[in-house]
Amino acid sequence: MEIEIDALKARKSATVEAMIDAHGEQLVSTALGLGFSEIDAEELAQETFVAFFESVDRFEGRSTLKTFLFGILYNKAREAWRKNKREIPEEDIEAKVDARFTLGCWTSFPKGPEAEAINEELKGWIKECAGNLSLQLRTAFYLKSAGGETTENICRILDVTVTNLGVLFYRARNQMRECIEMKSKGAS
Amino acid sequence: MITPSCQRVAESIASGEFYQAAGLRRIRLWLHWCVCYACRRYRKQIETIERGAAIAFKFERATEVREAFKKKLAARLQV
Ligand SMILES: [Zn+2]
Repeated sequence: MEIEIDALKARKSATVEAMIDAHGEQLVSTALGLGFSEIDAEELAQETFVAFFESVDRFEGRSTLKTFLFGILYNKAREAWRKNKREIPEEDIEAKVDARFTLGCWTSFPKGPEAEAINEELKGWIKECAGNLSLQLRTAFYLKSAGGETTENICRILDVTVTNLGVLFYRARNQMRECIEMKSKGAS
Repeated sequence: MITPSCQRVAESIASGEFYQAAGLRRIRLWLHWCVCYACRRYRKQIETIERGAAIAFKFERATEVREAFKKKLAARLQV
């Protein structure tokens, strides 16, 4: 069923239900992927819908409904992190990566996961290492890798430029790779 | 042909530019990647982590849980 924005603005029950069907679980999954507990993830998704209807008149359809909802979810997640003082200090990942090179050449060889099969150990490391990312880095990383979102949509959700998003990806992916390399050294 | 340094290639892989670059820049990046074992490994590691994340962050919620969530939300939105 196609979701008509005007029907949403009029709160037609069938349309609202169709929207919940289409996006409710996606929002909960995303909140879970951002590290929220099941209870908090559900609450966050519900808050997102409530906020959507509070601002639905401002929705002009320039972004898709999904992207608009995800943008609200991200802002709600930021508020929740601030409230719980969960903000993680940004690691100086640039310096860490720089230290691997001399005159642009690798001096410290990148070691890490390259296996075709994704085993339980690697899945566990990925979850642990994602826990060290700031909310912005984690959202960018999650939406791209697990959410399969396009660069354009992620820019809209995080309200950043394409260039800024490239920097976020650079930081998130290197922080994840460095963290997993450390864990794989400890395991071998 | 002069290719970018390993550091620049690694940067372009992590930022995503590697996959979107066009023209001569694209040829230079890929040429370097073809001949450099370390950069090939780096790319493979980044891609393995991305692929792993897609699997690690897959949440399967029971049908009852999903239905309860939808009912609660519909009630909250008064529809
Ligand atoms: Zn190289």
